Amino acid sequence: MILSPGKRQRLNRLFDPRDGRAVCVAADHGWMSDPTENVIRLKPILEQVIEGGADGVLMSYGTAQRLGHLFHGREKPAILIRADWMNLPRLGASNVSNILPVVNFRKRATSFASDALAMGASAITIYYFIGYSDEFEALNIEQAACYARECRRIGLPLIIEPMAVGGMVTGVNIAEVLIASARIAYEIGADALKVPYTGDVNTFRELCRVAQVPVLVLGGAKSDHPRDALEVVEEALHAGAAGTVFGRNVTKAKDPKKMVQDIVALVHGGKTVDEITNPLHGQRIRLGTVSSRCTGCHICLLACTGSHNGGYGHAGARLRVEHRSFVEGAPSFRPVVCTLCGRCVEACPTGALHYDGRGIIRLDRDSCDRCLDCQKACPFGVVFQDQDGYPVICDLCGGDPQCVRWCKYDAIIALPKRRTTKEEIHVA
Amino acid sequence: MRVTVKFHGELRKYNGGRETKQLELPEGATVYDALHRSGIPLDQIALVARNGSRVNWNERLRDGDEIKVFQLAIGG
Amino acid sequence: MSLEGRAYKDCILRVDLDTGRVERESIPEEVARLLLGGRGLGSWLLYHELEPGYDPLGPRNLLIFVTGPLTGTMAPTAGRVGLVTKSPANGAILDSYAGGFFGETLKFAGYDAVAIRGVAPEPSVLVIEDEKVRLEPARDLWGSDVFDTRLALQKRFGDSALTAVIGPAGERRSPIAGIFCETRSLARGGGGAVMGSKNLKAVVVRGSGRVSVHDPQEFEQAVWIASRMLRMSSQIKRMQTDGTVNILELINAAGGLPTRNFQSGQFEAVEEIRCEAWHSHWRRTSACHACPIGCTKIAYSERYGIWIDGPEYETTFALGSNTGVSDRDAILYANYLCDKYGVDAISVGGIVAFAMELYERRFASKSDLDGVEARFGNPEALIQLCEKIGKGEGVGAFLEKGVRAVSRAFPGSESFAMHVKGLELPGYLPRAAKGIALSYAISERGACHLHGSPIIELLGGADPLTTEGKALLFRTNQLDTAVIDACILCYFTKFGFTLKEVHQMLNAATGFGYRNPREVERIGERITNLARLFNLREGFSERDDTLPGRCLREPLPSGPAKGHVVELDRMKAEYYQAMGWDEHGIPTLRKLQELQLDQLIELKDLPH
Repeated sequence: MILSPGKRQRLNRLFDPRDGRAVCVAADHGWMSDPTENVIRLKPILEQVIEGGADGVLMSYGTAQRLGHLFHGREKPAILIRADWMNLPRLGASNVSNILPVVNFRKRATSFASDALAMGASAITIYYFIGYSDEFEALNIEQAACYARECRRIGLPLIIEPMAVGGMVTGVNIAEVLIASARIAYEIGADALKVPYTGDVNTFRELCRVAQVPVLVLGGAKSDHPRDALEVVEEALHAGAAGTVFGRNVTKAKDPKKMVQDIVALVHGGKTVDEITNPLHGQRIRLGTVSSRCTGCHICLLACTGSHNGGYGHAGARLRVEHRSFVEGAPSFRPVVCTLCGRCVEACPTGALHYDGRGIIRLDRDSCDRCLDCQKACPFGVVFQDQDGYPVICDLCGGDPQCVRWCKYDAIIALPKRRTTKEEIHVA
Repeated sequence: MRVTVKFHGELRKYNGGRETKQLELPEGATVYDALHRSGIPLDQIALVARNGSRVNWNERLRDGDEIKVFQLAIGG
Repeated sequence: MSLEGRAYKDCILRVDLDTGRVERESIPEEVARLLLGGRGLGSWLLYHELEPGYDPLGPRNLLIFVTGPLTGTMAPTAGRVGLVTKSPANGAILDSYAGGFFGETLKFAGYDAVAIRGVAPEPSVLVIEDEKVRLEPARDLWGSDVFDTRLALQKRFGDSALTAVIGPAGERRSPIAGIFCETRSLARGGGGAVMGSKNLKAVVVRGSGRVSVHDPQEFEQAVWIASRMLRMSSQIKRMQTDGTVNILELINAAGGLPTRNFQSGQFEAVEEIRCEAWHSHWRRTSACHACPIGCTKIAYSERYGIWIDGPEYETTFALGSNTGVSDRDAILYANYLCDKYGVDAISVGGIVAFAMELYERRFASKSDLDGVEARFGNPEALIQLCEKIGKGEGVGAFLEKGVRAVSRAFPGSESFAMHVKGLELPGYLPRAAKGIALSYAISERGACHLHGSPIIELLGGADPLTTEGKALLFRTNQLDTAVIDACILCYFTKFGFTLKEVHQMLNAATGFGYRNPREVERIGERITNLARLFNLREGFSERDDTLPGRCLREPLPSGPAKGHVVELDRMKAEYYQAMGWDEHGIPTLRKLQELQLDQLIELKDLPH
């Protein structure tokens, strides 16, 4: 695509020329929708965002006017200006969840692109609403086209944010609506897009393919687990996104700087979510349980059988759940897992059971005589038997235990394995 | 005038985990004004009740009113 | 290519109780592709095999337990079991679902459906241990309550055996009798009576098999995404903290909490039964199979020394606000009695509330009600009536026939007999929520909140008092729910993920290659039409898509919906049109062909 020198210059300020990617933070949630401390005291949050290494920060015109000095300097993020306003958040959650078309939805332009240019902005961001009424959609397109024309004239990049609202958008068509709107935004003249994640890699890849301009994935409402938000980034990048625009997941985070650093590590550093969020990544681990958190849902058994033998079931899992329903009195649920205590290895008369270099129990089937002394020795009852009579013992899924990954309630957790047994030293 | 705001469920995190907050508001203030002073991000609010019944955000408050703010919920 | 290994077990188990004969057959691929499983498969079997007009309690009615293609997999909430039969409460098609662990065990045992017909020569237990299926005599269990039966079966068959049992109410063929799967129940519509009519006290299942999917890697990814969306939903989180009853105070604020037999929509003692009040009774949170939501609360009543799963929002409304009772221990005990004797708590609550209004308005005297002081708000009366209904003793033997049958004995009481098609109303006041009102009128099994009711309209999601857009809103929800019931997933997943995620899980699991979520929504439309056709064939008509007179003609006296009645006719016409049906609510031939229903059933049977 042929861009004017001004646009190219400014896009280069935003997107790191080395990888063509950008980490942006949206701090344009103003008083109108979010009358809370983190809007009032934005400065310290922005300072952390800048320290964290963001490439761009999206703000309202007024905020940029007053806090623009924070962005002075070669290494500082680019300024993005929100050039329009809408009242959706102000209407309350019910209208964001939009089961029927919202009744008093409004949108207006708040500044010219040239104002933003004078402020030193590297781009402006505007909304483009879809799924509402035809009339409203027409207004959206007209407004976007006006901005596109002005931006072309002054060489300022335009970021369009397609947003699906209104009763016409449901799970049935949300992906196709977003994909279509991304393409329309490109045709109107967007230089980059700010888009919600479609929810899966396949449809988002299609969106990136038809959009033709860099796609920045937005974060949406604040999630309780930062890991979930980071996973969305990882998937979107995998699908072809050029970076992120995260707002509340950063500005409302306990540690905004750390959150930005984590996103930067994903976007520019080529790190995986597991490397970033799992403190035990790559270390020796063992399993632990917190019985009080267990709800008895048994997903751990499905995760275990699904990842080992193909097919989901309870029989053949390498752990078990003790389940007592309230009909018999006080209810209780308890996951019982292999703790790597080593009794089975000690009890094995033929040496068929041994630890591998990572502290995982392995069975050498050739030297196993199926005496099942290991099963008798297990104090927890988690040595099982396969169809051929060989013992089946937890192998920690090779270091990434699936029971831990899938236990939503954190009743099964990974712990660092500190104690080294004699056998392990022998192997190592 | 004095108005009591009650926070439902998870919304209590915007009030230090407490259920109740007292607000001093000027005469003529609306439900919207009270919400704006409550410290709750408005897009987290699903339903507002005044003295136990659902109310529109633009209605005027009276001294001693109790506002209860509910978040999005499901059940059944 | 067999469906086995593509999320199905490709096996319908047929049990003929008359002869003790057991047969297995596979599922036609076309049926699976067009109707999935669960509700779709069950409805298709029933439509095909039950002669029109047949007595629901006669030997040839089918009692069909169903699982779905996702049952037993890691898909979130996919451990549920479904029941499809012809309802003894009203002669309509009945489908009902329960959480817990029975469904996935049935699938692990190797079955997509178990279709039972005939009558066992003596009280029996159907035992399914993987491929081994047999009938065992159970004379000793006949007459014992749900809890005792379950303990006895556990003793006899071991801890790993899962059970679906009926209580004394089912044995008596009470139209409000449910089937109880461990601690969850297939409660509505009288499935327990059908089971009782077959002399079947219990089904016991042990399953040691596996469920394999078409593309395990793709499937795991799709399931992970769906689970993450549930995790990220603030609404789902509310359910974890406060159970389904978390919405009670919102519903009350919106004026939609049925109080004193649906006379009003706000309960003055709401503080006593809102979620915060139950925390002192809740001892533990639990989850159904593979469920990351975990909405189940397990409560203990010190006064009565009983444990109970709940109370849910529905039971709190039915046995609480609707009878005017705010005594929590009494509500728990009444709920316990319903579970013990094996009856549907929603229907029981509706009957008790109706009896109370009959009493207060002097239709019925104290002696008519065995001396029970049946005033609204009297916890003693609630418990006494529940006990009588559960046992079928004294006036209970009359009341257990349901609100519709009871009202026939009291001319003039029809307008406040709160039922639709003979099924008692669930816990949302129709006059305060127009979309929900429409869904109650239309639902195939009778007044039902789980077949597409847009409950969200009472929770701030829309203006509940307008009729505008509600027909479409209900239709969207209805088709969604039909897909969920065919998968089988839990209806609460709707608040975390959408048909888009269901589409991806289904494709990875079955390899059917549905092109887009719209094609999956079509399955829901197909199932909804099939159920409609069943009811039409049974003689139901547009006239049955109605609401009690109270909802249509008595303006609500108070609350945010003060002065409102339900403007049903307009919404109904819009709905029929949106469904592509004619003005009498009969699906057009064109619509049925478009839905490819002509490939599944004989269209010449149609009511045209």
